[in-house]
Amino acid sequence: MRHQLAQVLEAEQEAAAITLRRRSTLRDRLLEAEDRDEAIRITCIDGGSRRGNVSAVGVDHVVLENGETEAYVAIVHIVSIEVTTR
Amino acid sequence: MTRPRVATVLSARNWEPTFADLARATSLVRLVARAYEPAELDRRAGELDVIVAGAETAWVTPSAIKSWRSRGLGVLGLHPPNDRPARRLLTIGEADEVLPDTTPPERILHIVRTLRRPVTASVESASMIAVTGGHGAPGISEVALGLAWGLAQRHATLLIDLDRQGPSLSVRLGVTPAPDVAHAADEVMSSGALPPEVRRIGPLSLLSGPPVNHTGPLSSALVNEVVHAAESSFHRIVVDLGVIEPDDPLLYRAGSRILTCEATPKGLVRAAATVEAWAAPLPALVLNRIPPNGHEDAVRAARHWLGLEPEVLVPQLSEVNDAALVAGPPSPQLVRLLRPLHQPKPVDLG
Repeated sequence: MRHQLAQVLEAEQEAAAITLRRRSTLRDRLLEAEDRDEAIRITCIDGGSRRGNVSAVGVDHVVLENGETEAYVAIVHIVSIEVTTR
Repeated sequence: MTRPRVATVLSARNWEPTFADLARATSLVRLVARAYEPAELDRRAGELDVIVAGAETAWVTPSAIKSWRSRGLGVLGLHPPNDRPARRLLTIGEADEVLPDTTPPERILHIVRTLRRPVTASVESASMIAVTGGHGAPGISEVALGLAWGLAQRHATLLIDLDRQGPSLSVRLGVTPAPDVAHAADEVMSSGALPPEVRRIGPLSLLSGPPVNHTGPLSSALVNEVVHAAESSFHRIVVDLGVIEPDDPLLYRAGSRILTCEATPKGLVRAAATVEAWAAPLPALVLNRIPPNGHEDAVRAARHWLGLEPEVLVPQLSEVNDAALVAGPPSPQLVRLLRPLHQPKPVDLG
């Protein structure tokens, strides 16, 4: 009985996790990186990449700080995000 | 006031996505994680201030809540309205705040921002040491016992036998195998604490291995519960995992890992297979039963085949066998040899 109940609860939680993944956007991930203070590397459509910590996420852009510079990157130009540190 | 770092326990109920949306929209808190499994919270515990958890999630249990609080995290517990058992679960776990999950998200957010972290919090959680090894009885249980016995001289130490294939510590120590881990898991799920009659043997407390019977092995989640509960009462927890899958969740959960390897060609080959598949942070290596005059060869072979520098070298000791045969305490010499593992060092791959 307990096993069955646990399975149902587990399935519900798994569904929640899948729903979260399906609904999430690149901007959501950038917001998460900001909240976690993660260092990330962003690759853009022109092939260039930028590293830094996400200091702000706007409606259409993200601000990356790397101690020296502050770069504003348009979110529509991002093709990939790589977390470089936790 | 800095923005508190918050994690939610991912849930199918409405409170979780609503709260997460509001947290993101207002930026009043930093939403660091929406955890799908307990390991995620364990991994990020150092980056968190508050956990918001719903009692509907199977792994949100009294012992899990106690364990989070013991790490200095505030816990806000939510339960389905009028669900008394769920509410009770949160209360037994001593969540800092317990609310029905129909509470408006603005109110939940306000409480999260003002939640005081537990005063009795200690930054460090109890240290769990996982002892494992390759196939072929390289002496995992004896190493776990020797290590736990040594730790128990200074700390409240619990030794848990989680060797799923052949739990042997109660036989090794000559005691009846009760209470066992399965019994402890039941007790933890109902009361949030380990059974009061956990067996004392010398300086050590022991939870015997799960019975190998028709119920099959215990799930990792239940085992995790037992470890959570043990963390509230013991300073050190040594877990004899026996031979396991190298991606066993408990290897990630542990503060440190020990790989026991018999210093024979067969033992090294078996350990190499384990190391090759190893996915958790690297273990400290104990080279066991080193033949007389074989120290240098054994160390060289371990470096070559395992890529690990042995932290402890245990020669073949007749007194280890003698102690095992009379079902007595571990050999004092073995206990002494294992002392370097009391304060595990990070393993350097060089």
